[in-house]
Amino acid sequence: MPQRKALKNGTMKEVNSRTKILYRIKENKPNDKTNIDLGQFFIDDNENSVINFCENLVDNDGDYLILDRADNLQEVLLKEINGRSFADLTGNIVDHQSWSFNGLISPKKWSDIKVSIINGIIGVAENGAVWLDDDSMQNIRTLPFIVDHTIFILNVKQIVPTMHHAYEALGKIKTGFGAFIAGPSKTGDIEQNLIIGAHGPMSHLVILVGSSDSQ
Amino acid sequence: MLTHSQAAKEFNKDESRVDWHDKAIWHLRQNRDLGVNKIPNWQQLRETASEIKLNVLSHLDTYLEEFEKMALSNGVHVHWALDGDEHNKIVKDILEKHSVQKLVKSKSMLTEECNLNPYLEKYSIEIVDTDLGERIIQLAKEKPSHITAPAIHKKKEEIDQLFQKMLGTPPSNGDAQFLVNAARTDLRKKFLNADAAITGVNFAIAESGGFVVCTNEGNADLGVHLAPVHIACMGIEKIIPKLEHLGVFLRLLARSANGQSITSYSSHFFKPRKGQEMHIVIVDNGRSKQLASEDFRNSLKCIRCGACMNTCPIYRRSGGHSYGSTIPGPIGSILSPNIDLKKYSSLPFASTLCGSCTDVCPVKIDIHSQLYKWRQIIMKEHPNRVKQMAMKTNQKVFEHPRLYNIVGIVMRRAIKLLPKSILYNKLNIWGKQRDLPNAPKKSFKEWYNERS
Repeated sequence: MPQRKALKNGTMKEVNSRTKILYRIKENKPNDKTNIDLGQFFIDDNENSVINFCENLVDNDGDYLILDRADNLQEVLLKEINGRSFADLTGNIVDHQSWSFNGLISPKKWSDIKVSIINGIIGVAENGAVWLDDDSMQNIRTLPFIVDHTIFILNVKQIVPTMHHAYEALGKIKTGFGAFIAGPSKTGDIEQNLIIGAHGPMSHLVILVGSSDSQ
Repeated sequence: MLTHSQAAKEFNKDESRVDWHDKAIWHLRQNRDLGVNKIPNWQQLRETASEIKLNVLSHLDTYLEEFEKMALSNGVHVHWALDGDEHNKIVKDILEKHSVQKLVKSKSMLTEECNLNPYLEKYSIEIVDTDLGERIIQLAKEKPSHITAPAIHKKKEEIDQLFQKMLGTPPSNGDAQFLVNAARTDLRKKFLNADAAITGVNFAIAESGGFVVCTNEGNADLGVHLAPVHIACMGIEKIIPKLEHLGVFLRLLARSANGQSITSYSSHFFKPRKGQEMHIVIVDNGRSKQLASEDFRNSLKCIRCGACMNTCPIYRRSGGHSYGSTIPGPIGSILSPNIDLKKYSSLPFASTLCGSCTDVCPVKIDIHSQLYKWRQIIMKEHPNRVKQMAMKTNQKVFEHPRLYNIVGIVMRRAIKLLPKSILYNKLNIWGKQRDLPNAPKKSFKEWYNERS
């Protein structure tokens, strides 16, 4: 097992630096015993969460659609897709062929996918961000970053007021990868001109479902 | 190396450019205020963030060990580097093991600090910076002038010229949309063909062994999720204890930087994807030394938002390059002297000590008091003879009332009678950009005595 041996050799020196760094920290660190309490930040209630979510999403150059019922979702999605190639990870599109990730297609081909449809797990009212994880992305981590247009489907009941609430709801995260996505890919690096679509999505839509039974 | 004021003098030669730069940076500060004012408990958030970071510094060794243990159990390789050289070697060894020829890198101030790019280029590894601002300065063979907006010193017409030369784009008269599209097309190819991806780390979570990378462009994710190898480089101070603390820091970071409620992408990495290899390189490079100093250890709380730069009247009018350090601006001026006191001895003086940096800092670092403390150390270790002489002379004059009176009479005459060429000599630093006031006929004492 040459690989393992190389690793072992490699770590021999690291153990050295590791020990040195940890020793220096131990010698030099301060001794503070302040108790950290995040309780004070759980003051926002959920009353205006849906409205706040939508406003803050628009501030981040994203877009939203509110659907009272989920039964016409396919129709809405197809309109959004508008004939482009798409990957639907939500199972909402049954009448048309979604891109299939059967492992035979190299990720290098994924630039051909133009639209992705993914279920959001949590939405955050204060910034319009949607949390996704390996499950909702079906382990295709590249997908929401490589397409031109991302669509996230989120139940309004999953919207929480702040990031504090979001992490509370997520608890001990078990996923291998997760992300808060709050808008399209953008840059201000050229004289601070806001340009949408720096590398990835040029548009970002969150479809909120089930507003009628939450209010 | 030029001192800050010498380098700033160069920058100040083009006055309209200084105004443009000042305005561009101030725009970020204004947006920060708009974003911050929407949060009801901003001050409590800052206080809590500062406390969490102090807790981190107080338990840094145990948190790092916990982080390492959890990361290893997540199937991530963990490396430790005492300094920049060791960091570079570790990265190179990983790349060589995988025969990496093409590498994409998202923004990481740490790899700038370690000079990773020139090091890897020596080994014929193609390294492409993918953050648009970083890409621009990479193509221009320059250094970043700001930590969140690395190419903020460049005008769009200059970027247009640069892209024409380096990417073969047609002239666009500085059309930002066109230029971004050109970079997008070029970089997409780089992403798809990269053998490995390097990212920085915004926050590393001790309890989970995971880490968070924040971008607006999505460049970190595009690189990492396509490449078979991911190397994340972090300073030891990036640790936070728990996932729930991310709530505090992610609320503060983007709002402090430019007023955005959050960056478009806040990516949480815990385990490599199937078939991918993930490495974390933990770097000290002088940080544990800074930790020993009660006066300066708070600088390690920095989350690299850039707010102190955007608000700083000196930074805005002297440009990031005038600092000559990896991290410019007020925070850079308290971090850099720890790395090399002699080389960076002019930086703590590049401040009016107005305290605005301290006011906007999301983790409440006492930046301006630290600048003041560095000045005292520097004056002791690297005395400035002219200043010392001046202070000693002043002391003599103020100690002797008769001498004071005589000097007063002489100076009032001298200012009136002496030609400008003598008055504004090299020793008169104060008079470099300013005119001396008209000297009154009498001293205050004379005037007061006549009056009564």
